[in-house]
Amino acid sequence: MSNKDYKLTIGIECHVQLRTKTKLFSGALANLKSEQPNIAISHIDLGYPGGLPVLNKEALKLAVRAAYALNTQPQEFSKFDRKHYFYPDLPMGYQISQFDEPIILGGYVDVYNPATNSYFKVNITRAHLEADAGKTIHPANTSYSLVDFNRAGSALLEIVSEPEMHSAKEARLYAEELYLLMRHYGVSDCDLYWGNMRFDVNVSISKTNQLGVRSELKNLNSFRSIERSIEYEMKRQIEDLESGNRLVQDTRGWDDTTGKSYRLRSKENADDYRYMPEPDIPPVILNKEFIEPIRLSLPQKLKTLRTRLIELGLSSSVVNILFLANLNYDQIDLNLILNRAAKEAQQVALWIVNIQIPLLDDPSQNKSIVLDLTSQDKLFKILYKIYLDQKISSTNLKVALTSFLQLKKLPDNIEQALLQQNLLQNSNQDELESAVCKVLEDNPKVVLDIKKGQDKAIGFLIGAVMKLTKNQANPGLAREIVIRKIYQDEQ
Amino acid sequence: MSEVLSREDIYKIAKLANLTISPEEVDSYIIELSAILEYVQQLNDLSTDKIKPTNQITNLSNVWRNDVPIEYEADSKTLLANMLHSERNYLKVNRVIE
Repeated sequence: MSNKDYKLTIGIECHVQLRTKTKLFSGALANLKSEQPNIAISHIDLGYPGGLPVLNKEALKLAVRAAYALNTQPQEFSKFDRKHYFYPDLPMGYQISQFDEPIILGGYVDVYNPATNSYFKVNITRAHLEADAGKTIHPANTSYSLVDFNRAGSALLEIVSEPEMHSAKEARLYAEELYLLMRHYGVSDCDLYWGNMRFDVNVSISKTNQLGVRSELKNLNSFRSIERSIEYEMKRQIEDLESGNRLVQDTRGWDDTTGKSYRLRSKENADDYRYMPEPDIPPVILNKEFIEPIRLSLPQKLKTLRTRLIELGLSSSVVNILFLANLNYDQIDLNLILNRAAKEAQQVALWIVNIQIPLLDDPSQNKSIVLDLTSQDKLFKILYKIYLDQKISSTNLKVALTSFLQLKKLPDNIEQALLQQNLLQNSNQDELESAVCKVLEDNPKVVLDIKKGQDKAIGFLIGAVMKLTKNQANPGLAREIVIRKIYQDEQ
Repeated sequence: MSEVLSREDIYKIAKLANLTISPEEVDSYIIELSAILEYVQQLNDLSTDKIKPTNQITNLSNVWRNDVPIEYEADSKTLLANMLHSERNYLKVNRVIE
């Protein structure tokens, strides 16, 4: 029996840590990004008697942004509930979450597939606000676990998808799209190292249209582990069924090192969380005055931006690199590309991807890029013209761009400045001809090889000309002269 | 008095409450908890069709605070002083994973 007989179905719950300074219900610092345990905690996060949780307004605003990112609107009425269970990372004995009236119901994500330059749709069931639990670690070869509550009480938005994905690749693309969306809308920093996005993936297989028994892969924190764990889990479930076993609903962990999933606990006795309305937190009723300013501050839709960039002739991989760079660095603005005609836009995109982004990625250079965006726009415009006129070599263009980006203010005359720095190509025929003559004289053997038909050696000579002219020669013109001189001699 | 709850129910409730109970306690809880349940069940005789579910009794809504850090009276050191066992500033508990 082959895998093809089984239909794979995947649903994903994604926990997004919201970009707030403080926790969802306390004024302790959130998003601390410190390895030092238990320093950002309050009596509220630790469930001390008498503590009164008060909702963080910013978390609510970010949830409203998320609603629009998910192509829907926030619910007018929502409320909080207590979800009870016992675990050392949950000091209160319950988690404050939203049960039957969450902040977001419905919505969808248009997931981009760069391989086919097309979209597929994944519907969203719901998304709710909740307080995060602490973090448990289990030192090897000991009989105990250690708990750090820095994360306890941080604001999470749990986004639940419909079980609508049917391959590991689709699931990965969905997670990646969600990542871009949450960052693009400023909902979360999405720092995967600090667990700002954690995925629970439900996987089931079936030969019919009815869903099979699912297992839930908990706490995946990378896109790669989502794809790998689903592939593994599908294979495991098929093998189990084919050997005559009955699948049981269970919760599993994923070990990225061994590439295997392992059972955490059986879900045969479905969890009984005994939800009850949270009496300490009055319900949330959002009116137009609250929502409208947020709606008006939203960025342009990611899908629209992507379509415009692709229409300008940029490849999907270049677009992806630009999106991430735009999110990571203030110094990168997509408008520098969007506001140009296609050919110029493509060239500027390549300069940004090949020259500017590597500079920003280099921590020793990153901070030194200080040129403001208006000046960047002007710089790209002038450089493009110089480039079109073939007045600058690609090597020198990189040198020029790198140094200009590190200025606070552009020189008044950029072309003049380039000339002074000897970065412009020399199209002066006489100078170039004498340089070519010198190179030909110095390399009689190479000239002979070319005459024998080894055309590749021409490149070597041009390289020598460029070296001699300190990269100022126009390589196209140099080539012309080299060929003319070699064959001229023959006549 | 009839017994609304079974022994299994009592054990399940105890488990959910993270309590260990003896067989004798189960015997008494069957009677006591059943009585409480029966008393509360009187509510089922009332018609509640037109009554909205009560989530809150305060009639408040939108009680929130701005996203500004607060220095509470009890700092982390004070809060952690109640840890029964600790190691490197972590709370130390019985191992929760194999």
